[in-house]
Amino acid sequence: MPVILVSSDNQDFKVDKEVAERSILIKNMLEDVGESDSPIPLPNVTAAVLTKVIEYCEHHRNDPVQVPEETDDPRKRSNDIEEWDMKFMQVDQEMLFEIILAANYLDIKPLLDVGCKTVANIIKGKTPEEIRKAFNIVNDFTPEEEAQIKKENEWAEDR
Amino acid sequence: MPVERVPKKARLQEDHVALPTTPAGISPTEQGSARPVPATVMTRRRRLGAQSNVLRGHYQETDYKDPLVFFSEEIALHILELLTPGELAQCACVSRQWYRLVNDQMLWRRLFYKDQFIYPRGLRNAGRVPKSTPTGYSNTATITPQDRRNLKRKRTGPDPFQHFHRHRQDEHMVYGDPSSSSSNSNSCWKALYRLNHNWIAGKAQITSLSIQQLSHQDQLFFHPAGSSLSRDMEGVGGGTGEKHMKSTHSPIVQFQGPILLIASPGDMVHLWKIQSAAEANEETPGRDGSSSSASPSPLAPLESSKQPEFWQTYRSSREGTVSGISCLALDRSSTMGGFSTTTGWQKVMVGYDSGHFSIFEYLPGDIDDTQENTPTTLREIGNTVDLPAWSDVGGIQSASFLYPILTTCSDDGTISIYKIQEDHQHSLDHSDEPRHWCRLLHRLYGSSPLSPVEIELRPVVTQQLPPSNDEQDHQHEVTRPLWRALITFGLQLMDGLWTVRLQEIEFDEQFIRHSIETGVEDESDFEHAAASSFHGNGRGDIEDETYLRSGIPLSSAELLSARLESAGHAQIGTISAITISSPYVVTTHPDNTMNVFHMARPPVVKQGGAGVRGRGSIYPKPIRFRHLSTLYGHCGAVSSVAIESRSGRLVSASMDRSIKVWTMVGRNRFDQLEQRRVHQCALSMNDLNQSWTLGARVNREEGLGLVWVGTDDEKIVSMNSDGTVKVWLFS
Repeated sequence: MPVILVSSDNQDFKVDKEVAERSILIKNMLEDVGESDSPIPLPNVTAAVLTKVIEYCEHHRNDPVQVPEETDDPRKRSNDIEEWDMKFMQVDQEMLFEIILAANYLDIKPLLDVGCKTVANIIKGKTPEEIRKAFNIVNDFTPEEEAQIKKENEWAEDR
Repeated sequence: MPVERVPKKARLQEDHVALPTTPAGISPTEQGSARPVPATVMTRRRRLGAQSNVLRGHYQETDYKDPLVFFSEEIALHILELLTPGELAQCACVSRQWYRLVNDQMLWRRLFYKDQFIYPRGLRNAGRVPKSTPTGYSNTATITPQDRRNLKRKRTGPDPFQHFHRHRQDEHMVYGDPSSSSSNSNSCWKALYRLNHNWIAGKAQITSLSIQQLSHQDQLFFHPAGSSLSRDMEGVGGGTGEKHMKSTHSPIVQFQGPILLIASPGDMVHLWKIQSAAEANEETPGRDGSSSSASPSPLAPLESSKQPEFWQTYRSSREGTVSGISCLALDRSSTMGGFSTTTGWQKVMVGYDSGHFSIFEYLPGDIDDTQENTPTTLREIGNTVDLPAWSDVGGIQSASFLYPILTTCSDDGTISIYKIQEDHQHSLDHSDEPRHWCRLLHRLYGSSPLSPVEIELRPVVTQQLPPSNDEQDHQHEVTRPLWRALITFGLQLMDGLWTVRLQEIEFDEQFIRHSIETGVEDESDFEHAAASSFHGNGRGDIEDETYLRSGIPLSSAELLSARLESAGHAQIGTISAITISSPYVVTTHPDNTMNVFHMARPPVVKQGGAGVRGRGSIYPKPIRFRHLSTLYGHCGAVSSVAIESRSGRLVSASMDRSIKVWTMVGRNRFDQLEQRRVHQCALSMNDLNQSWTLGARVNREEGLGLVWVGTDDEKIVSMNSDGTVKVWLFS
């Protein structure tokens, strides 16, 4: 039985219940409401973002429950993303951020993880100046402060 | 997780899956319907929709947003958590907001556990602290003057770490005490992470000092007869008057906190203060800037250009009567139980070849003090040289000092327990300097020399002490304090093989409660019981539990004690050194290996209202002691090993001139000690150029190599056979 989701800009999306229930928020809502045809309003998600989110949920509809990662070597903190997810996340930054917000709001942990990993991968390997450029951040440190912070965190720097 | 918990209703409907109308499975029912779409949404949709599948990075700058401002802190931390410390170091420089989040307490806590660092024992309350101050710095995105001051303090002094440092031995301490300043509690998880990171990565600040040089200085100022060390090294020595040293007496090093004591041949005691890395950095700002950008190779740790501060040399005045210094033992009472008292006079025992010992005092100075360090004096407060009754003991081999109790073991196998006491009433001429008495409490005569031997002395807290607030009342009830000495030693068997034995002596000032010797059990006995006994002891506030990790089912324990009588010796090769720190004993061998032993105590029967420990049975059950693992990896005779009691980390030194750090892997499997990192000392020893350039061949011939190593939670102190002492500071 399909579920009707309504985006913030009042577009309706008919989605399989199984797909919609990738979102814990919707899942809980459906459980609370019970059998009902009434559409579910999602006032925090726009149609464009919702389209993407549903696309993700559709693709991952049969995923097993996510097991917490047990990495053998904790030193290798890899941010590996599945190929499909990687492609899926090839959106502009604003969209990426919106997806993360929506994933957080809709409580779709795997999508939130993928989104955060994507952002982390943007940050990875960049100098502070490059990071600032990537996110349009204004440097509000004085040069002295920056040098001081750099020194403070010297121990952590990768060799 | 969403699928698993689908309610029944939903599961029934899974059979008739709705047909997806589009490849993406979306069916906008009323596309372009009568619903009005706001203009803003339209524009956004147009923009996003048109570009949604284009690679990122091709956009106009106006689209970029600061993720750490855009998102809630929760999500922001989720992102930062995915980065490595090195990347976080870069992030910290981006902006104030980024700096604030990168220094978030919870972030470092999560990273700490994610990297499977082992949380030091005894700091088990730390997790509570971040709850009280969840988001670290003040919520403004600016650095307040307070923060800036903290920043500065962090850099100049051991501020965040100081807290940790000062109380690190206190079992009951709430780590990062909320009453302390916010900066302290904010820094603790990061500091903890940093320390572990540095240990694993081998990032150490190295300072080295040469005793050879020292001896030379002494020659000028203190000792015109000359020190024999340099002469021995040159092959000239021997028979230089009364100062002829036995070859076995290499310099002896002991340290506690920043204080390093070196007893060099010629009865010299040198007192050093090790500078913290932060202080050393402060002195040389230019060096850091260059080294960080040049990113030195992993095997070249930062070399501190600042030498440790040399404080004082003391030479025993009793020439002739006192032979060489054979043992040093610092008073550990300040670091064991209760809050440390590092501000007062600290005591140190100096043991001699003749079986006598002296007690010295020194003032470590206030380490909080960032000003010029106050000069410290080392003064002798008493010795046993004039007490002939005690002189029938052989040279003191090992000692453990827990003021007022001193336990010594001499090379004829005699174990002596002394009490050193201040006597304010009978102070002679100096009213401010109390006279000290030394009383022999107990003496046990061994049948054979115990060599090598190590002693661990601890106060015993009675088990009935409830872990509640009225602890102090109960402590007053304990009228007679109990101590327990664990003496571990190597014993040579008939066929040239060795075994390790453990002697446990529990005593108070008047009686020896018990004294039990235990051998190594057979492998098979121990497995299941010990595995369950090591971790998962929830309380741990009680000394007995903390340090012997009991928790074995009683039935199996009884079984084991019965078997113990028939158990044979676990036989190992020649033991060159031994060290003990409950629950581990580690032996080193000339065949490049080490052996780790583990001890556990069968639980004491707890009877309701039993006032004194062990009332249930007169004789407590002996400690169970078994071989745990053999460690391979050194390519030279292993000469010394040290255990960091908090984390169970091992540091071993070998004649191959390498120090290896062995950390435990896994939280519950204590039988896997994995070598994480090899420190190649040779690459960083500047002061050894002379001998090192001659190559390994010379080293082997002359027997040069590391002969002693010690460790605490933030540093390694190593000594080379040519008398160079190096301090590897990881904080």
